Amino acid sequence: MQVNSVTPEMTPEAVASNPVGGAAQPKLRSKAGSLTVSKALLGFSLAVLAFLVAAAIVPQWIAPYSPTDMKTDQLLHSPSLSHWLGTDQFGRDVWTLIIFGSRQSLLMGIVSVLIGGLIGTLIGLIAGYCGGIVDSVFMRLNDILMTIPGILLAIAISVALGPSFFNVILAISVAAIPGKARVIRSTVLSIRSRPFIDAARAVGTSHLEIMFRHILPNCFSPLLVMMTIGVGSSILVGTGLSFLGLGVVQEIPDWGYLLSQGRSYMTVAWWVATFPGLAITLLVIVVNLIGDHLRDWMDPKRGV
Amino acid sequence: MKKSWVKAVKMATILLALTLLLSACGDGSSQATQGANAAEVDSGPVTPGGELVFALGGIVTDDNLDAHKAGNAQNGRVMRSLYDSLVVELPDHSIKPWLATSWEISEDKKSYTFHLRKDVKFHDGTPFNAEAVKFNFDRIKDPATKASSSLNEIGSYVSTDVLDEYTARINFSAPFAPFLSNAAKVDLGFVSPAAVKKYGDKYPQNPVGTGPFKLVKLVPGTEVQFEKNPDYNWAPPTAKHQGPAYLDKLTVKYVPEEATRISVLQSKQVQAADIIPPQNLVALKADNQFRVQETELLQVNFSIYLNPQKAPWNDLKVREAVRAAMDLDAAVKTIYLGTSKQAWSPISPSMLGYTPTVENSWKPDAAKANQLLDDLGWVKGADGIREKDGKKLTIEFIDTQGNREKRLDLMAVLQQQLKQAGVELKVVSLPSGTYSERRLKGDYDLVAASQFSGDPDVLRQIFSTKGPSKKNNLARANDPQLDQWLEDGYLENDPEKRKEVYKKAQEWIIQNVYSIPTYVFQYSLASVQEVNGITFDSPGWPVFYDAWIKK
Repeated sequence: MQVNSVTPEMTPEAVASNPVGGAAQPKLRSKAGSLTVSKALLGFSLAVLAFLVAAAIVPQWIAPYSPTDMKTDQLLHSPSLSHWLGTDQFGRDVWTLIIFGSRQSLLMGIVSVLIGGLIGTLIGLIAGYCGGIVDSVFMRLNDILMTIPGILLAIAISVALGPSFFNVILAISVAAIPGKARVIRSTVLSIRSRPFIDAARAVGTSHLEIMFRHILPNCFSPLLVMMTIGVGSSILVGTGLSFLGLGVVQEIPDWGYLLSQGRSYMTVAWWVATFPGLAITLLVIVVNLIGDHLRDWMDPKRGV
Repeated sequence: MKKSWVKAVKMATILLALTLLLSACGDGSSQATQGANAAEVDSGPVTPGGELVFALGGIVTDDNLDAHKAGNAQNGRVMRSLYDSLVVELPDHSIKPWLATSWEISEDKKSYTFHLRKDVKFHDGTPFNAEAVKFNFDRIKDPATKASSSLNEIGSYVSTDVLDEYTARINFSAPFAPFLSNAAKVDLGFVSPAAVKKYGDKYPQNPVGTGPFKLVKLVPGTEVQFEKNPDYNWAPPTAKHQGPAYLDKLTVKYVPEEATRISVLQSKQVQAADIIPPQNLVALKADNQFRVQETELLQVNFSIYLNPQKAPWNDLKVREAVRAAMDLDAAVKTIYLGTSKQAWSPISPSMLGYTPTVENSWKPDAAKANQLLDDLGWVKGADGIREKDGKKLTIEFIDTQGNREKRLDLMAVLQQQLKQAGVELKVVSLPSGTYSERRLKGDYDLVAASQFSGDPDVLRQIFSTKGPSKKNNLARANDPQLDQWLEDGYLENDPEKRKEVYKKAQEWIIQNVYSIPTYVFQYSLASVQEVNGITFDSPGWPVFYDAWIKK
């Protein structure tokens, strides 16, 4: 991998294999104007995310109504002052449902990325550090997993295990493993060949210590970026599963379920499906924007 | 570049999100304009010919069009165009001739002798005769056939005697009152013996009947194409014309997704669609470009069955309390937007033997529910759910069908009503295998289902330990008195006496809360204004024989 390369066709693996020295791209954002825009976007993203996290933790303080309150005399009312985003087919307030549904969407995204990231990191670390046959075996298995689209893998797992919140998280986590494993492995490969590792080996440091004390901490920055962006795609996979009816039917529905149920009311009450759909889009965009900034911020060449 | 990669991922995720959203928006087509009631418009003289494309609400399960093996409602709706029956049933439950011109019932009520029409041919040119009747009934009885609902419909069938080429005597081991009504259904329609021998295991995808339409092509999982049977001249007396069908072609497309079904109809890519969701029904009815027809499907209503063999539901008082805690009228009005009514009996109102005496025999009464549960020692805990001896009053509702006909939505409303009374309803969605296993073991608190059928004898299947499902009857009822009535019901041939027996049975089922009926399903079919003459047979399947498209 060439440092300072400007080849546009860089693969994710190639990018990630240069966690420390790579990607010194032209600083497009150094112009004052776009910097302000990008800062404003970051501020907006952080504000939205903070709001959604708050909604996930204490929805009852934010939402104007109860999510289980079915007002049978107010079915499918269009957005108004009392119901900002209208009411659904049960007479529930859509705004309230979106606030209460954020917990499940965020949990799905974060927990599955943590699990997937943890397993992926372990696989990548072992494969990258051990090399040879271990590397080949792990990576070929990983390749097999990678050839299956994430959403398909998640659907297969959900169908096989049946719908439950745990199974959905498991399904998304498994779908998130291969990408992470591959990126970590390339990072490990590049770190392993650096002089301080040789030095550690020379003084007789054990393999485990080298792996976890010397190599792993150096993988954190690509890992953090990968995981942040991964949250967005995991939320999409999770809401996709709910949308397809493979999620859990709970008293308080998640966004994917709201979207799929609201879809059949589209011709008579567009707001029932549109707002949960917008909520998903917004969450995924802000998480990705934050991930993008995080990557810039962690870039060691930043500000050079 | 690292940058371009992140951008690509970002764009891809955003696009995915938008796609998800837009797929939802795709249905937003133009909405109803006000106009005269579609069905009342004068259609003028019949113009034969043309093709009708029908969007089927669901899929033809396994693409199975074998009258004897395909037990699902959607399959039945499609097969009605392919197969004819011995007799036809009118809405008042009287029986008229069809492929049989007349029949006699023996003294002991165990034998039926049918005199058949002599001019009937299968689509493959082979004649329909007494041998074909014998072949068909023997085929249903043969365990190797693995017949589905048609096996229940022949009851205690023993054999068929071929008396001459066009006379067949069908023998039963005991009187079987529902037989004539069952014989009018498509499940007992006639398949061509020659075709069954020719195609063997492939017959269900290569059906050959005597009906007004014959199969042209079956595209698995997608659609079934029919053309009119030019030789057809044996329409039942319920039909409005004789001779071949008016339509040249009939194509049935599987469109299980309801929003899609409505939008293909509204954009006129299809000329007719069925199972119109309530939220679209009102708009379509008001739109003079479309006409909407509705008919009550003869069936056991979608009902709630608390497991009476598991504590605490084995106590009648607890079952009564649960029923009193639910306001079904409000729930049904909310979910079906006033297009369906609350059901009071296990069976639908148009079925033989339905008794109006069960109507309003209970009412929503939160005070009574609370009182009953308080008296039994179920006390509300901190979370508002009642407890007794450390056990919560939780109803585990196992389900495998999902939100068909908005049934889970209905349960969601009931869930909130029950919560007010301190009863928790938990929906457990299971794959069908696990569901059947747990249901057969009785390892659940509540199941909910419907069962289509044209005759009240179906109650035996659901409530009797002596019925086809024995101890594993859906309601898990084990009640000798009820078993006796339901047995009397199918042995008794006099319709008036049968009605009396079924009246007692329905009242007993409701009194003992073996079943909590929910709503009466209205089968709906909408078509573009140009389509005329679609009718329904006795259990409520659509008939396209008289249908024509105005040019």
